[in-house]
Amino acid sequence: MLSQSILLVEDNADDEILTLRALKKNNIVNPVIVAHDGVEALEYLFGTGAHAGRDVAEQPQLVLLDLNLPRLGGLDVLRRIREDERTKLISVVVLTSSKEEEDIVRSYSLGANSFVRKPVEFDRFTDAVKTLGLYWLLLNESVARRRATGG
Amino acid sequence: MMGIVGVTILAFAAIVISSEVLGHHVERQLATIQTSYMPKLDLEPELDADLERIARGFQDAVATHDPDVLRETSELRTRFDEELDAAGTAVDPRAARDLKDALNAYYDAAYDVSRRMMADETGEGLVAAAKAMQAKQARVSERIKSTAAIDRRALAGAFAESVRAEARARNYQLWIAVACLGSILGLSFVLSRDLIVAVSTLSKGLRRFGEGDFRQPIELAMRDELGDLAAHANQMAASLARLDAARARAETALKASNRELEAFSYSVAHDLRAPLRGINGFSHALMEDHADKLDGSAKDYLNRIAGAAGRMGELIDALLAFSRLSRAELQRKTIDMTRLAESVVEQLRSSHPDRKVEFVNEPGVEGFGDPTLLRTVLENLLGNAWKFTGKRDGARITFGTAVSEDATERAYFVGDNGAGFDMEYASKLFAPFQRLHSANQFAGTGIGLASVQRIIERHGGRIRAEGTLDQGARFEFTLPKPKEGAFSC
Ligand SMILES: Nc1ncnc2c1ncn2[C@@H]1O[C@H](COP(=O)(O)OP(=O)(O)OP(=O)(O)O)[C@@H](O)[C@H]1O
Ligand SMILES: [Mg+2]
Repeated sequence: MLSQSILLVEDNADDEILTLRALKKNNIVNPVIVAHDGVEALEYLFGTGAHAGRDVAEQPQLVLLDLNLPRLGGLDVLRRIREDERTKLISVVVLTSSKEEEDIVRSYSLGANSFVRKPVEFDRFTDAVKTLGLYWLLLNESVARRRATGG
Repeated sequence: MMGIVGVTILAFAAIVISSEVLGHHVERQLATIQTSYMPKLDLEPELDADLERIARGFQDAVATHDPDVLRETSELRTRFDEELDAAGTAVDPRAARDLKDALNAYYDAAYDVSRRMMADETGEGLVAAAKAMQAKQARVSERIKSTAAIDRRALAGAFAESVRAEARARNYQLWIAVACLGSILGLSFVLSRDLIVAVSTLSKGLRRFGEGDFRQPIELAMRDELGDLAAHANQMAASLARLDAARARAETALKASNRELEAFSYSVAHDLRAPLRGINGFSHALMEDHADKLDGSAKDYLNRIAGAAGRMGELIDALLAFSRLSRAELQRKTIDMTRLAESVVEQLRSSHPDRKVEFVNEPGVEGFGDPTLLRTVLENLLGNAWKFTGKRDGARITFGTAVSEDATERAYFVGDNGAGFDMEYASKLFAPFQRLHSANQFAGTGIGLASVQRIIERHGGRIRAEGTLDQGARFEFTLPKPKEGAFSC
């Protein structure tokens, strides 16, 4: 079952803050879980390690996945997500910092649902997040809001 | 060649030896005739004469009663014997012995009768002895006849044999000549076939070498000029193969270092972008979230921070794109340059609908090169022309072919009547990030012409710029024509 949450996999603190801010600015109020590297992301998704005991039946609606991550890279995280029955349906949007990165991910055909180039310019970044918003914020916003305030 | 000379020598030798052998055979036949028959021809009259002389010797001795004369008859007998011996092998030895026996018998009898008559003996006994003596003389005559007789059939046979031998010799020689001629023809055919095969093997091998395949040497087991040629070609191929291997190693090393460079520039770009995102993002956040606490100049500074960060991002992107240019593989095709230029200008028009620019495009201009990269060339040159005519009324851009001194290449030009530039700085135009106009005058990073130059040079062409300040600029570049039958290294 998919929950309304978003998993942001991002190791750069600045990018994390800016992404969270951009989400908020665009009225995206879904709960956001942040994993700071690939291993942490998988631990969350599969309820192991630091996230042992988490109910893995509840999976995030969306994963925002950076590629350059410490320990386990974004490509490996994506592969593991697509390989596992429990996670293979999750939308994954890959955050890239260049056109080449996008090409690389495409060439592996690992099934990323979309790409957002992390733009240097704030405006473009915000636009990208807005476009991204179309993905999941056709959701019942009130439910999202309730969960956000309640959880 | 050597083979034909060899066969010719062999043929001569065969003819000479055969004529020698056959000639010898004929000679032997003739010699047989000489030794077997010739001595006999004279033998009969001579021996008859000798016998006659002996008989007369006895008569003389009796008539003169001279015992010396009687003794001298023995010399005559010796002479007879010698005469007979001289005939040698021509005479059958048994017949010769019989003849000598008969002669001895006659001589002894004649001697006895003569002595008795010289002693003046008479009577019946003497007459009988004389008769017996005459019979013995007749017997000698008979024997002479039979000994010296020639077997005519044998003689005819011998002659015929020698004639036949001669005819055979001629025949043999004819056949040998025919055989020699045949083998020379055959050999020269085989040789010429070998020659054709050898030449084709050689040319195939050389073609293979030409295509850069040095794995197998040319196999030509000939010990002549062609063999030498093949050996030299093989030697050359071996050194080329060594060179090729060295080049391959260098290429691998280059590829490795290119990959390294790529990885490096990628991570540099990535690592530089992250802090830029921070600078940019937070200055915007500050501006949006805390606008009420910022005065005009604070906002201006923040804007400048964001602007500078944005520009740095562009520079990083431009640099990355530029470094990609030098690594991308060239995919050469024949290109309709007129259409390409048209589509680039079309694109410029649609992104600057406010501009009025006259574009003069030469029809039917052809080019040969990588379509994507040549598009980048025209995008930059026409883009520059477009940009630097931005402040001019009646802007005019021209594309077409230029005169080329070299028949193996085509020359093109892009001209405009824009801002132009000072020729003194013309050499700087093509260096990365070098600009002759300030950013407030005309925007840009200064990577465009550097990219153009790199693309043109990778195609094997050249580019140069001409300009007059406030009059316009003209960029001329060349592209090699497609080479026929060329192989790439
Ligand atoms: N058609 C032209 N007329 C006058 N000056 C030119 C023309 N084309 C190029 N230049 C000069 O050469 C410089 C380098 O050109 P280049 O295309 O490399 O950079 P740019 O156009 O300034 O930036 P970019 O192409 O990277 O956006 C320009 O800044 C300009 O000063
Ligand atoms: Mg330019």
